[in-house]
Amino acid sequence: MTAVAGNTPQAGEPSPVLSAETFARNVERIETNLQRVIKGKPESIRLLLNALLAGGHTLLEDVPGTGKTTLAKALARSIDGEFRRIQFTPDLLPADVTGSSFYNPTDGSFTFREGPIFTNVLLADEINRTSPRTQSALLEVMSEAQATSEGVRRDLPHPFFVVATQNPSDYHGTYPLPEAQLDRFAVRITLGYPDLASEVDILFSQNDRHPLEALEPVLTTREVVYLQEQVKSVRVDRTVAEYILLLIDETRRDARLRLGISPRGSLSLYRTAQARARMEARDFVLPEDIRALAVPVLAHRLQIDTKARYGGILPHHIIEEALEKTPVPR
Amino acid sequence: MPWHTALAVFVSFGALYTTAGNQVPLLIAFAFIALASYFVSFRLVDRGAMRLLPHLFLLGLVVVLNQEEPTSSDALIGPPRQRAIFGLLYAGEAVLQFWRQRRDPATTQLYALMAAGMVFLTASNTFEDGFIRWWAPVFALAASVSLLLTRPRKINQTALLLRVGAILMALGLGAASYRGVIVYRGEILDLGNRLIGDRFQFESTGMSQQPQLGPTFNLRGTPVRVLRVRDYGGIPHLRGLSFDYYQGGMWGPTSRERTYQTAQPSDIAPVGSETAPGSVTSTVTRLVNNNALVYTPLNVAAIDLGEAEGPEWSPVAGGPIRARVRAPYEYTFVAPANETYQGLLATPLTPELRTRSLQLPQELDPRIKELARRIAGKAANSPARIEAVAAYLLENHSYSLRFTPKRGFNDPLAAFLLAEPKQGAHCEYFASAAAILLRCVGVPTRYVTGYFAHEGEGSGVTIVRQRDAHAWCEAWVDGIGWVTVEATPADGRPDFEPTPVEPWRRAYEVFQDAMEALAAWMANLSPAQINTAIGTVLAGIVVWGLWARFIRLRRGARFGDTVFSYTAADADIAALSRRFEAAFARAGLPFPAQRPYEEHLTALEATVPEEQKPLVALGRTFAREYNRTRFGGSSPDTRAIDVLRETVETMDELTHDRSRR
Repeated sequence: MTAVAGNTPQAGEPSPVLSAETFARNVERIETNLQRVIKGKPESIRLLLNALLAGGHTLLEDVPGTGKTTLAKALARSIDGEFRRIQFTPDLLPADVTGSSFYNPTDGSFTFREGPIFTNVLLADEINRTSPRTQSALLEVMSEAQATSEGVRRDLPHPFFVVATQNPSDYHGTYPLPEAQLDRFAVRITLGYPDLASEVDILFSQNDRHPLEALEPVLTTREVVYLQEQVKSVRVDRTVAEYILLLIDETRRDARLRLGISPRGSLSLYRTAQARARMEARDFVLPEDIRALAVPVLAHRLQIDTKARYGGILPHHIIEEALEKTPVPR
Repeated sequence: MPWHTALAVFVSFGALYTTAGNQVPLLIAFAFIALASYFVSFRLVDRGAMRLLPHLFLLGLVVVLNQEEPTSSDALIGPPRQRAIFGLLYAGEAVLQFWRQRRDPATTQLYALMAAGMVFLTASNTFEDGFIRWWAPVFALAASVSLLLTRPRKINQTALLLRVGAILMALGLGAASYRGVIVYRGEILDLGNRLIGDRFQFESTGMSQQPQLGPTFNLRGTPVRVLRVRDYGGIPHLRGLSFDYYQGGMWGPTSRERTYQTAQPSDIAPVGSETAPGSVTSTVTRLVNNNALVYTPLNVAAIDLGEAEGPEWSPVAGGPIRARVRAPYEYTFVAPANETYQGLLATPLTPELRTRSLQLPQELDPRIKELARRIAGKAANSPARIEAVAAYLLENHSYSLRFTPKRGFNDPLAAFLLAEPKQGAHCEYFASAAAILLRCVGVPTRYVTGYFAHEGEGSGVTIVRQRDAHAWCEAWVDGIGWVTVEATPADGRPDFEPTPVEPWRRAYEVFQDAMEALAAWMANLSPAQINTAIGTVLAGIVVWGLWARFIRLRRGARFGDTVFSYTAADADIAALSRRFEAAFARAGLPFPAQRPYEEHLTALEATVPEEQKPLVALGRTFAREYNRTRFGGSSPDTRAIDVLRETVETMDELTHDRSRR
């Protein structure tokens, strides 16, 4: 249950190329594992894994009580990685996130105590409840997997994956995430309420104890890193890349947007499309991958003009319009 | 600049060129700059020296091409035409600025359109000008198309107001500039003339009104074409002005001192004159505008001034004949073979004229009289005297474009004739010297300026350039009349061996001739022909517009301001995909341009009726293999192509059966 059959890379050895089917099978194992805990949300789980394999971070945005924290915990347990959690409160300081130095009176030296970000899976709970000052402590951490504290650069472990959650309907005492921060999330997932059958399942499954506690790891962190490497070797034809750019250019030219998609956004779309292709046992990207991922990857990066926003335009409308307008390479 | 705006600007400058014509030939350059800015996406760097380069280029262009007007400067950078240079510099700046991609190109386009509108309205100062019939509808169409296609980023009231404002401002400023430029043209010209100075009083002639013997040639100019002469083979001297009063190094009378009368056709084309033996009718086309003189040889029998209005001449002085007509202006003259034929320019020698033609200045150095007597005193008659004087000058002096009079003489002519060693000078000195020397020995002589026609262009056409300007004299021989006296050394006649014209000037002349031919052809079209032509052009534009809008853009997309199309697939694969799409179209299930195959097929599988499910299944097989080949990277192998082809053929059969049913 733990090892990927025969293909674990040894130290110093070049990693053999994983066949598409083996890759897909491994991903399925995590999926099944997660579905034991989160019932009835297969697309969201796939999207989360998509982001993980693309090396990007996830923003879970949903109403309270839909299982965001549970999902993050389940993921951490599935990959046998370290899990840490930051509960964001308005009085949290940046040093609480990255870590700080403590003066040791016995030998007169400063020792650095690592903050909770030095982990494999970081759950940033209710990220919109803390001040922008603390939110920005995560900027460097998320984009470069390193933390600079008091002039010293410290690398974070591999893999490093942030799952941030926020509650979209809370307006009291919250600070909306700035554009720069939003841009660093590869995907935004909304869980939503489960359907009837699933919710009934949930009620009964938690009768004795929480299924989270029974979860066993199915992959090691090293294997996850390996899978991430495999994603990078997926072939993207030039026309597919041009398709990505046409979509993005459409958003940049839209008069209703204050800000279009940045190159970081196009890169995220590129990477997540590669990961999705791998997950579907393909070693090349199709325009269908782009179209399927456009809304989750791009919608949260858009800044809509006030007038358009009061006109009722939502980000996913704009992305969908762009998808309708842009011809597809064939 | 997008094509429609470039077209509008091109049309407006083109219209201005055809109406302003040879006055400001540089205008056509702007028309082509505007057109070129559509094909060449050139971004002006906004820093430092790069910004100056287009300005310098433009300045150089203006200066060089302004030499089109035969100025009397001997330096390359001469006094330019004030009314053209500054306006054009800034018009050029405006055209070049519109190359820069702005944040919102729509606003810039609107300003460009406004400028084009102004220019166009200035050009159409009189709507009777034939070419406006061509330009106006094209411009109206281009401007309307441009206004429609210009979409500012902000879709709001401001954009609409800006468009309306642009139209109104264009109309208003155009009308105002028409008033300003056309109505006050006289004042503007006067100011220019006053600034240039009395020395070069051009008025309406390209020749100095008062030739003055100085260190350099008065009339030297550029290789600009002044006249084109057809079917002429007589004496190469084409005279323009004659002078008979010499004082202190200057010839007179000036233009103001001459009396002009209207040149009636009966005066200048006397009945029976065409039948003089060996008469040849030649056609002269005057190619420049600042020169109102009519150039003919001395022995001209009759002149037909063509469409000149109110031509005038001064018969008493043997010319000049002035006809103020815009270039190109064509007139014909009849000249017999006999070089000494006394025609309408050979004024009979009245006693008064004799006195005037023998006049010598008071303070003439007596040594000159002595010299004259020494040279020609022994000659028996006028022809012999003429020959002697001419021979003396040719042998003893050489030709030089620069002459510095030595000190000690009261007159540059004296310095030329008497200084030792003998210096060289230019044709004005030789002509003046010949005239004065001949007058000293009693031969009535007058000083003449004009052009020396020697450069043949082939098939009987001679081109006269400004640098062929020449001075000589005419002497009266009893029993014959006025004869031409050429006293300048042969190798001193300007461009006796014509220096080759620069290639760019040649090219420009070819272009000018083509434009002239086009203008002449256009002027001769019947209204029906014009309407047909305009209709065809408009229809063509409409068809092209529709094609661009609907057909081309379906396949492609827009990236920024450019139309974009994907890198095409391998040819075999592309052909098969087209057949695949055609099959589905026949079955009534066309593929939308923005859906990839597999996605659309998935949607179809859910909704399509039972009988078409096999087709969809086949489609899926095709799509899967096609995707692998198209996006999978390696070049398609024969196995893949075979699979694809088979699938397509099966689909073709299915859909053709269906359509037959």
